[in-house]
Amino acid sequence: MHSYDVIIIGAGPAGMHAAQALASRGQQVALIDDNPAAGGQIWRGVNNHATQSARAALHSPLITTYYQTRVIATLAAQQLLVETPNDAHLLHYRHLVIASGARELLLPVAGWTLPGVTGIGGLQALVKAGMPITGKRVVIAGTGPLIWPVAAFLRTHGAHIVAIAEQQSLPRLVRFGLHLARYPGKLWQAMSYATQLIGVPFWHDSHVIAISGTTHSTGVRIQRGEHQFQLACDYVALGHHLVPNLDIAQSLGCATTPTAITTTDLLATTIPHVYAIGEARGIGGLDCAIAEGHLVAAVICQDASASAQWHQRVQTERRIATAIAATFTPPHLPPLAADTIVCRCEDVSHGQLQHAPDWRTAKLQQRCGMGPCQGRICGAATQHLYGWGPDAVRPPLRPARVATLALLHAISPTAE
Amino acid sequence: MSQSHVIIIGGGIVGCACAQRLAATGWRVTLIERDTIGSGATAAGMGQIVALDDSPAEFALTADSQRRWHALGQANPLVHEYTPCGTIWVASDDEELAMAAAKVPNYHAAGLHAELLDAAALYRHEPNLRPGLPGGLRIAGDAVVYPSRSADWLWQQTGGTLIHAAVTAIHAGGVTLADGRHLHADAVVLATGSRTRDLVPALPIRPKKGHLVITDRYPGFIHHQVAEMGYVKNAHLADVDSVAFNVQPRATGQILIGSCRQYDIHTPEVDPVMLGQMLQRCLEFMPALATLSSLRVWTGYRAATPDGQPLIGPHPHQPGLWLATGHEGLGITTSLGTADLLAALMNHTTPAINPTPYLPSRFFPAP
Amino acid sequence: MATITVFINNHPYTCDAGNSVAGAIAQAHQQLVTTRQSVHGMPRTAVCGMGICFECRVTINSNAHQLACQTPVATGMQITYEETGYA
Repeated sequence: MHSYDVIIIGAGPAGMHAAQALASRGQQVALIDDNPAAGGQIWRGVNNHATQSARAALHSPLITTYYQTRVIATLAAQQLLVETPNDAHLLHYRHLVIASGARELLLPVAGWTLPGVTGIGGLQALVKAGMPITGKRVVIAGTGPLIWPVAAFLRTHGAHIVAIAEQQSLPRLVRFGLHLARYPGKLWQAMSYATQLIGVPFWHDSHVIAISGTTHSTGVRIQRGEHQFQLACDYVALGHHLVPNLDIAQSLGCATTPTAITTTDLLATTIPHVYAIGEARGIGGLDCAIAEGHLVAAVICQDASASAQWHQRVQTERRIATAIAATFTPPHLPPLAADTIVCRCEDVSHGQLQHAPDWRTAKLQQRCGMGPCQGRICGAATQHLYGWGPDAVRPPLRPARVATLALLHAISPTAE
Repeated sequence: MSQSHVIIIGGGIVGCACAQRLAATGWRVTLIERDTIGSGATAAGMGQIVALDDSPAEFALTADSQRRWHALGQANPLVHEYTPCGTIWVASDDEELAMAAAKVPNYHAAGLHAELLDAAALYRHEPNLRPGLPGGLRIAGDAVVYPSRSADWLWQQTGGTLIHAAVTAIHAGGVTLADGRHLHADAVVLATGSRTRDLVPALPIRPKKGHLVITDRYPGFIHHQVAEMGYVKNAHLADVDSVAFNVQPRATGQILIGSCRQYDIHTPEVDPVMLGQMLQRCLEFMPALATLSSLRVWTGYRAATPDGQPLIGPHPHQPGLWLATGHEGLGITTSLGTADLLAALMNHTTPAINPTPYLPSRFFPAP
Repeated sequence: MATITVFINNHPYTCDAGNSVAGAIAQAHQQLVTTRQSVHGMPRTAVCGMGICFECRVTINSNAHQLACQTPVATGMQITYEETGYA
């Protein structure tokens, strides 16, 4: 078994900065991420100097990186079971930092299962991973602050952005803009996106009604106020803001709300030796994540002056988080047709679910949520559509090879 | 003449099967279930339909039930996801192969298919088994179903009333619910599996916890339910925790992996060490499982009795109370046979098999 | 950027070395294409791009159900998926 002073789950901005700050204080750190490289998912379009230098600092001999590595189970005696592409390991920690980030809320709409319909951050991630976008017609729809950087990114890479359809109302968006204006850095960033998107139709109070196509999306129908439009396009990027990844924290027994891991001001969860930072503590954006990465390192190393300094910074950044949460609330969905798929893994439709009394019955009778995404997509959707509650979290936290779980026969159930 | 009214407590596969049988023989049925239909041990089990000859009583009930499932499954294969895959009991040495050979005549005498497999035949059927095994026993009439859906389907046949509530007491002529309501009935059937003692503490039923793992879809990876011969030996091993290799092809192409048994554990959490030991055992028999992607792990409780047989029939000291519980790991299989037995006893007609070995009175001293 | 050769349904393709398998498949076809049929036979491919939705599962070097969006390409990698019925 490998043992570390601190294990950080998630190599996004929060986790990277925490790793760097902990290593600079002499801590042996393991940094775990299921992606092939550090940088995070949601905000990795936003490459600033701080993020780049943190990535460089990961080469410290005190930092062991585990990429393409999934946390499969949280175990007694401060152990984790993790799976790499070809192996599995038991890791032991003195302190655990959860920087598990967020994922996009993807909600069902007619045609959303067609190839060519992606998440908003999803499309950006695919383009970064080699998918050609030059000359492709893209409609971006949904809600959330992610729309802007992604639209700018795609356009810079040669996409033709047909339209941006934001579900929120204009006054609400204006209020958010005015809030941003209090932070010169943020305003500057927003202005730069706006400049990059000059000429792109932007519609507020708009949402997707249906996506058309047979084997690939070829168009999208949009409701804008009282009017409907049919737009031809190659890709539809859909997203309804972000939901934090809470499963690892819940598996450890940490208290959570539906939108965040519960922590003290100094990032301690309700379980000893376990901390939470970044989006998993509530969607707060890049700068907030970075500040919390530094703060958690100062807290763990009992560096009082650095703690005080970063704590203040975090408090400021969290005010933006509050504004984000107030602006980009979950949308009102257009009524779904009975044949619209809700659970994509098991092809369970709205018609099969709408009369089910609860999540458990839907799972048992229809297999809703029983597929490989483990309810990560349809769980959020059914919560939104039918008000069904989430389940208790059980291992494996992600699908895992049988051999990985078999490794558990050898663990000691108590501390060494 | 007014219809007799029966209250069935417990909407698992056994309760639902009893409801269906009683409704079909003229009873008005009320089913009381605290959660959702087919959600307890019914949802947690493997959904195996197996004829087991380890004791005459077990054989009689499982063979009778296997035939009933075959009829039900053939009539409605989609509802039940009835997969007539058969079972292969794998012998790990020559001694177990000899045991397997000795079973063949028993099955044939009962009119069931059974076939001794030599090593070549074993690997022809299941090439993913580890090399070096001497053979096994193939029971072609065994099958796999999706039990929660079968339970719901059985219940839908009754036209009865479903009440979602917890029962707090059973008394002469009815039951009391958690909200204080009293419901009256001519008979009460208790089918609450491992929770039986919540309502009738004197019954000799203990929960036996199990873990199961399900994988992503790998159609063709295995073709039968495949289990080690030692499964039954381990399953009925006294009070020690045990694991046994048992894998099953689901109609979806998924592989269900079991099994393990732990007595008197009341927490539903996954026990990592037990899970690891169970999978380690399965990998010993089928190393190719190693790279399959497991999606979910869950636990459940079997209702175990001291002699391994269920309790089917009247409670000897509580008139009007009937028991259909204690089915251990065979509740899905034996639900249909149980329902037929119970209904025959309640209707004073002749059951298909001799009810004596399952009567609850065997655990009560004669007056 | 350096390029490498992978095999997509047994056809050699040259793609950028930093691609994910999902990116390489899209590059080979100049668009996202169906890489999976759902349990009821509907066409599907990558959606979330970050290992959440599991829609991008393909077979990589004979291992079924691997996430195309989370797996970097490697020289000589064999990537297969069912193309039947869909473009």
